[in-house]
Amino acid sequence: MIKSNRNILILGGTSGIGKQLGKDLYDEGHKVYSSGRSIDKIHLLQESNPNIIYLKADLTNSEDIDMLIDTLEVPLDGLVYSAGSIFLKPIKYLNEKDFEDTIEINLTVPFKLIKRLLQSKKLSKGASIVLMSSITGMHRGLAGGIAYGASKAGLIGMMKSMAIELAKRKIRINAISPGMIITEGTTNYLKSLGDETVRSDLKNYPLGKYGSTDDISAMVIYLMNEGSAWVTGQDFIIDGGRTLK
Amino acid sequence: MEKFKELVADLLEYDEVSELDMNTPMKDLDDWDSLTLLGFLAMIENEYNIQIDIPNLNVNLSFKDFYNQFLVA
Repeated sequence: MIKSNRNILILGGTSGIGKQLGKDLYDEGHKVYSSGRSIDKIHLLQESNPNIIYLKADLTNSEDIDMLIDTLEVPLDGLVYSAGSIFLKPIKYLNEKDFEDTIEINLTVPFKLIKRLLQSKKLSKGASIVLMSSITGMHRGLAGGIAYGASKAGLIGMMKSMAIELAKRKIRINAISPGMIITEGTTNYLKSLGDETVRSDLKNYPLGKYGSTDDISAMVIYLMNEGSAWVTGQDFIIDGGRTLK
Repeated sequence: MEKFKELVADLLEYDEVSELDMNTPMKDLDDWDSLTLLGFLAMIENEYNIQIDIPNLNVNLSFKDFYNQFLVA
């Protein structure tokens, strides 16, 4: 049932969920390409994961997107968009540029990437695309998450229409909407909220804890494998039950 | 310090600046939550042109300590 040794590109693969995904997809037997902006992070990861091919790219730069796609020697069987910005600011301080920049990296860039990959025939028949969305946007609001929520809701809307068009090429596209996932970045954020606020927030999670990158990785592995061959256009909420309350 | 106090009181939506306790650690304030945290960092960036990332904000500081540490020229 499981067809391993697929060529998979992870965008935003040098930190958080994307970093974990690189290791897990490689362990599943896939050939993994992983991109990130920071050359320092890439150097560090290359030492600990020598079998993953790391590529430096600033995805807000169209030339970098072209270069990234040109670098790929084989058509991709899998694409994971885990790049983007968790940009949070209350409306009082949120300006138009903040809003536009957030939409650009979280929504416009994945559109550009997929379009360019299709144009250059670098997505193979039967490929699987996974877009990392969030429960913020389509499923709930978040104070400070006006631009972020708009971008993540937009991503799901884009994914559903793309799923219909790409099905003709037997390409599947799905989204994952995580709740709070513990990463280096979110650990610092939670620390800044203070213990009492975190304890109170955790009460909103019926399963009583925040998620881990493993929780998301397991779903991506499923979506990359043959077992999900009849799954497209779906938004998978993985949130410990947060959106139930 | 007065301008800073006014900005923080405005952020916390207090009617009077005098309601603001400048000596309590930020994380212990009744009104301290995620929106306040984000608003505080955005206000500092907008008004003082100082960008502080979340990991670098010590929420054990009071607003007075923060002012003395980061905003006194």
